[in-house]
Amino acid sequence: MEYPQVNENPGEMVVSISGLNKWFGDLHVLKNIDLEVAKGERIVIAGPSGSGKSTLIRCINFLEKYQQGEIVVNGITLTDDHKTIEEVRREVGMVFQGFNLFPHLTILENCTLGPIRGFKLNKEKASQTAMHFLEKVNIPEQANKYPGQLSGGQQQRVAIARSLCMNPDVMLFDEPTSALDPEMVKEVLDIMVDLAKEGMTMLCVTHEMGFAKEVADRVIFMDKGQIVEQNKPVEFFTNPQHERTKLFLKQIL
Amino acid sequence: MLELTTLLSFGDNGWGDELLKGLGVTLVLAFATVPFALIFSFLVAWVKECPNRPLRIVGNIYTTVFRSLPEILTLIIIYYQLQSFINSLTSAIMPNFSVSISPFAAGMVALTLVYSALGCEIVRAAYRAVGKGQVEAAYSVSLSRSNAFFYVILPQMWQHMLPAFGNLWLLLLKGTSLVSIIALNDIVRYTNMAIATTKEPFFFYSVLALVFVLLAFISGKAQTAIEKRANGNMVRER
Repeated sequence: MEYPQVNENPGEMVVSISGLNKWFGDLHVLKNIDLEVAKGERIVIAGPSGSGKSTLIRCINFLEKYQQGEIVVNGITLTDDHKTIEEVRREVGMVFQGFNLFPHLTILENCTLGPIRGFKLNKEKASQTAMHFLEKVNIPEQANKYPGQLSGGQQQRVAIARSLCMNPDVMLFDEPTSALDPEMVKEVLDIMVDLAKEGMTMLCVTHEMGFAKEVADRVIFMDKGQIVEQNKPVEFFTNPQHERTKLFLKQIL
Repeated sequence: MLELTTLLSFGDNGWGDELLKGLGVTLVLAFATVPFALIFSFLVAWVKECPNRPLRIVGNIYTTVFRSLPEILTLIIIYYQLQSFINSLTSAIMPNFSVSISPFAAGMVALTLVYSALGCEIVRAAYRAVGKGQVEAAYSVSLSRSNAFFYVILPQMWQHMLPAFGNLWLLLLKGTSLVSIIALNDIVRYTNMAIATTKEPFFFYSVLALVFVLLAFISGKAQTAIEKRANGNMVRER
């Protein structure tokens, strides 16, 4: 299947990261990360656990603080000022490994809380938008249930809809299928593939190499806090350049 | 037996009206303390969790001191010492100004100090029980810090806090009895007066015990109802 290729006009960067360094105490978890993400680009970040891939994407919406470097999201330079952080978070959707739905709110309220409180959308409009995205992830009939009543796959699809309700310019996925039962992985991946087809800019930390082969424009391999290698998926999987990448691929494929 | 029940009658011969008045004072004191103790519990919990180290140390000293002191000592210090301390401070600036702390106010302050030191640990535990993932999810949908707290974190904290707060409420109800020592006419003090006059300690202490058991029973019922309401929306994970 053919998807539109990477935006050939690299002028429009949704995320640009330069010289990013982060330490947890003495542990140097991100080392001189430079990364440019063009509009519409789909990036899969792979690597062993502890390689800093989750930490990297969590820096983009400032869930993690970092000590050095610059992150620019849609022209907004991230600082530690709360206003700026909230502004950046409006541009960035995030899907977590553990879903993190709000258990005390209905599915619909989960989707409308951000738009209503975050950018003061009126309730009716927010509900309309929410229903639109719940239809998109194929669970409009669950709108009035609570997260605890849904299966893991359904919850993760709600989490995707919740992020989409903010109309983000880039979506971050932090191992979205790792906490799911095997038979529920596909229903979540299908939604992600649909999103990719529609041209959503995506950064996915995932071990789903099938997904990477199918939709990614670029696969980034990280180890020990560094970007070791990045390439188009075909080259990445068939012709890895670094020993570390080869070892990793041998172990997971 | 008939003789004993007349002791509880209202009017000049019986102690019924006095005891009821005392019960009123006990309940008003307990209810008046609750909002302050609750607010202070949250404030102290917040201070103990904040990134500012000196502030955290202040919070830790506060809880260590007021959890370790016997309540009666806190009460006596507030009632007898605080008054003269404030007056000695203000006398230098305003010689004609003097504060006098009423037993009721002293009781409220002392109980607030003690029960907020205990309550703040309940608040902290509940905050942690809700989990970091919820804060992060709230931030990720661009909620501000205060919106994240009031719309996402706090509603989920209640289910963790209510059982422990119910416990604390019973302790507080009982704790009010200490205030009789500083001449506040609560139900315990009236009971003692009745005993001094009638020489019927067994009867009056039994009545007092029954009243406290009854209060605990009603509190338990109320707590169940409140918990049910708070947890109504929370459907357990499958």
